[in-house]
Amino acid sequence: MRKLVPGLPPVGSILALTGPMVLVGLPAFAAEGGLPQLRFADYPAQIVWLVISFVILYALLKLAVLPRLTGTIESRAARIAGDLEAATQAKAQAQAAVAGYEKALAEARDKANTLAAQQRAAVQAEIDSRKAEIEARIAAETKAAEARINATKDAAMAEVRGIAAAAARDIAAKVADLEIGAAAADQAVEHLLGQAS
Amino acid sequence: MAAGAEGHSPLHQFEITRLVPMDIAGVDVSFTNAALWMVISVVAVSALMMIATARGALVPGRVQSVAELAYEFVTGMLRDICGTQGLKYFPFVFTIFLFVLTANLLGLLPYSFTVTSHLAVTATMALVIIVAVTLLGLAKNGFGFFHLFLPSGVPLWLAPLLIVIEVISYLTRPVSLSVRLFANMMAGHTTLKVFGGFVVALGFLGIAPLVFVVALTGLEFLVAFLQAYIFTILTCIYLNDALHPHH
Repeated sequence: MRKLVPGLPPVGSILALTGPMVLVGLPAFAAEGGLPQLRFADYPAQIVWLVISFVILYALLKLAVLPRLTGTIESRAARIAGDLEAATQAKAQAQAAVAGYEKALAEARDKANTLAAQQRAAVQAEIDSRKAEIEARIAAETKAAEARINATKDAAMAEVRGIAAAAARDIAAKVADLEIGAAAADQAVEHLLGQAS
Repeated sequence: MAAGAEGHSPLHQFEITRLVPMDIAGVDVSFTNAALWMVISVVAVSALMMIATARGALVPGRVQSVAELAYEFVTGMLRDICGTQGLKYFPFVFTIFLFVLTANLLGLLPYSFTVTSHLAVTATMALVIIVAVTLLGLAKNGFGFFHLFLPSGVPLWLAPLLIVIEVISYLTRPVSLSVRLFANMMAGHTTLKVFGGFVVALGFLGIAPLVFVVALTGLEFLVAFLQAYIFTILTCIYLNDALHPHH
């Protein structure tokens, strides 16, 4: 057996020591006047007061204590149930709000995407049309410039021919003393130019 | 546990003394020391419960927790054994539990008197419980209450033997209920007193029984609670037999 106090004999040996003393002593004590519990003359007084005190305790508990006690416990249970209910509702509301927010977010994103696409398409179209316009203008100006160059060239060429023909007639008149008609000189220049080109 | 000058007998603590002798129509209704401690028990437990339930706080304090703990303990016991029909008799069972527990615990105070160590008290309570439960069983189930003595599905040739055994066991219920409580209380207190006497008688060696008395006092607190619990749970079981005699 485990020792209760170090240095003292365990409970077992205390019992072994004192047990016989109890067995010897108890009948001697009891012999003095019998068990008080079995003196039936004392019974009526005890029973009467037991009934009185028990009934008073019962009435007090039933009428004063228990209504308040059950009221407290039930109101607490109701409060807890109500709070749980409110929490569940709040949670559902929060979830609905989150779902609504996410839906709104998705819608906004879609709208932004389509807007961006439209804008991009519009800008692209503008760019394309401006480009086409500029290209067309450039082409027209190029063409006009070319025509002007050609005209100037032709004029210059015609002048050069005339000068060449006049020079040829002068040279022929001075060197060979030949009178060449203007038409023949032009023809000769034309012929030589044709050979050169 | 009282160590009065004249009280050398360990049984002296159980003596009934008439503090205010009274007599009504030839019946002795004297206010005795037993009656005094019954009244003290009732006042103590009522005061505790009244203080405990005065505020009815949502978050209970210490005293309120004690009351609610006792309430939940007895309700749980009653609901587990008798079902929800048993809750109708909760105030009675609760009173029994609190009265027996308080009387047991107050009896552990030095110089106090243990109300529940007297057969007159325990036998009265046991008889009232058994008679009330029997009447309740008859009122609720009529003749069906006697199914208690012959469970259905028992072969008929066993019936005479079984009925006799069941009736005897039913009739011994008040005896076992009352003797268990009174004998436990009396034995514990007598042992404490005897060993307390040895502490003085053995002089220096008295430290050995002193250690034992200290340990035994702790055990007696356990017994005080346990016996109140047993008394209450048996009341619940008997009540259940009255409410549901068909096992």
